[in-house]
Amino acid sequence: MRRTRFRRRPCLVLAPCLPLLVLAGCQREVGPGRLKIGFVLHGLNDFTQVIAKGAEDAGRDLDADVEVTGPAGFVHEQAIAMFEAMAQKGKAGIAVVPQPGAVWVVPIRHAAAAGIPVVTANVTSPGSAASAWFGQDERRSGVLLARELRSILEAEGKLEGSIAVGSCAPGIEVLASRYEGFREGMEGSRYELTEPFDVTAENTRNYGAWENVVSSQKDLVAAVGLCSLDIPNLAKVKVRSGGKWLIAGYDLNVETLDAIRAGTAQVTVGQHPYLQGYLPVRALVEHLREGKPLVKGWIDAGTEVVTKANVDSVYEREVDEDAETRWYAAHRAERFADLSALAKPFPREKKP
Amino acid sequence: MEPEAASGWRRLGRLEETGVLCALGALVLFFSLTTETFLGRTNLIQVARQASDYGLLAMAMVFVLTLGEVDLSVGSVMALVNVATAVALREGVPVVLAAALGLAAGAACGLANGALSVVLRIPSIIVTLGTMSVFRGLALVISKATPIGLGDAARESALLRSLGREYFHVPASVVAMLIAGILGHVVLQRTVFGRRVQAIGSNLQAARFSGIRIVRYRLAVMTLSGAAAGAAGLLALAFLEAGNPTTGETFELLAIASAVIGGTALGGGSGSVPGAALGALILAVISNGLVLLGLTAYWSKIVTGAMIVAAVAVDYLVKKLPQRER
Repeated sequence: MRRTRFRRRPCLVLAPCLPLLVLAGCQREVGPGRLKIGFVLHGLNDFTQVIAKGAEDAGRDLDADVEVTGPAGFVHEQAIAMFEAMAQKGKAGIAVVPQPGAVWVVPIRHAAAAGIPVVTANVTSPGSAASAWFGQDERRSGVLLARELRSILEAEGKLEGSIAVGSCAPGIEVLASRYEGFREGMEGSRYELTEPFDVTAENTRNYGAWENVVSSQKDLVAAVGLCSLDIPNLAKVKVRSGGKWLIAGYDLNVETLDAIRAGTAQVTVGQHPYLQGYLPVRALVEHLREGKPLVKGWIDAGTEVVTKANVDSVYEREVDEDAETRWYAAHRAERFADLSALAKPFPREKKP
Repeated sequence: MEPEAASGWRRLGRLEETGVLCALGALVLFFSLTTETFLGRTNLIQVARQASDYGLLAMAMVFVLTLGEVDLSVGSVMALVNVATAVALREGVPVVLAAALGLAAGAACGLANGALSVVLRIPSIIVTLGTMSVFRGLALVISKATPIGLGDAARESALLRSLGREYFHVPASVVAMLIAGILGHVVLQRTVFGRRVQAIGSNLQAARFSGIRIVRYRLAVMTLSGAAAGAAGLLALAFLEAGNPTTGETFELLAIASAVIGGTALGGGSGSVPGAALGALILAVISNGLVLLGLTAYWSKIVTGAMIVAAVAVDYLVKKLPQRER
């Protein structure tokens, strides 16, 4: 009997505390003071590290605690768990890279229902309760890439031939949009575009896959990678095989820019990941601390096409973090002074 | 003449690797007939090099599986050594020292796996399921999730150039796999160490009662697995001239698949190092051949899986034939 009473007492003491603990967990800092913002990435690689840096710089500039996290292996279930944990930790607002968009509708809805404003970065979740999206139009980026590659091919007198396309993650919406845009940009030409080959996201197999792809194509005039690790590996394959085909792809990592400078690769498309990290945090802070209405709609972070003609103008900011911070501070002041004024409707394919 | 020829064929038929050789042969024949470039010298060398990306891991995995253990951390160890050595080289550590430290780090990771398994009395599959994440996480931390290019000095060093170049048109990683394959086969089949590894895997209790010190062999084999993963990480660094934290992702599955396709028993007790190399070649031939056939992303995964099953089925049937004849 004594043991039973003794066992019951801790439960009686703890039970009323539980709702208090839950409420304490749900409290968010609002008004003046150090805001706590969460930022959930879709994975960890060199590209998302730039997003993270942008977010952290925003936190430093705006006196907010920004916690950036993400699953190592691009597993969306883990990212959702991290997002939910951010909500439980009482973040005043959360920015998220919701990849793939469809599975994030419910988690974002739950967070919004709990009063946590959510914005999306890099990709968005059509139909979700996220207020704004900071990213590029992926389909349009493919069109721009195709147009630039086409102009280079035509300038070299290569008016027909095979263009091999590789995807490091077949089925990912972003990459599919890029490919669709690239195909659209190549319409009317005499180039034969392949469907995307699976070139994998693992670095050594990516190299081997590209070896196989370029070997498989007769009359290859260009190889196009849809992911950031493709151009560096394509450049190595091209140099070692003595290939004459052109290389196009995405993102502005240092190896890619070196390949463009050397003339081994011809064109790459950047999407300002730094801004995709900085601007969402700024939008949340302006809303939560200053009471501004939260931005609604799409803020186009911009797409930049880089070729040998302009690679030197981007090189310094991509290899040096301080230079990157300075450049983007000036760029933000010039182009992103008023986020609400810049917001526009979502692109056609992003509408629910 | 006839009896000698017959005994030669019988000897070939009794080889453990006959089945997987037939499977490889069937695939080579299929892709030779259906594509124009498969049998070209450049393509075959490429296939061999692609197999060597995970071939070393597969051959070490033979020892692990034969012992009755599993090492799921090999891909992560490969990544950790790959980026840690790249960082060391970028910071100016002499190339030979950096490479030696990288190899030692790989062996240390393997030793840690073995020690945890022994001390905590947890199956190695569980330990390495955890260390798989730990080592991958360390690789991400060290590299800040970013590829690390080698400086000119490191790239031009004699050691890295020798690890990344070709010898009589054969890539260094393939040469390494050949040497490791011969050594591994001799050690597993012709030494006391190898026989005891098989004995432990066959019947742990009997091995213990016969006085074999199980703990030592467990530690030794797991250390070997880690060292092989470290070597694979160094070869990848030398060839691609950059460290990358994605290196080795899913390679543990490729290593296990190669070993099993090559005839190593998942339950332990027997294994074939040359078989694992042939298994790695089978996987590389399938990847290469499907691309040469023009099979794009969505279909290639389906067909890859089907071909792996077919290759294992051929191996099984070939092994069964001599038993039926008796």
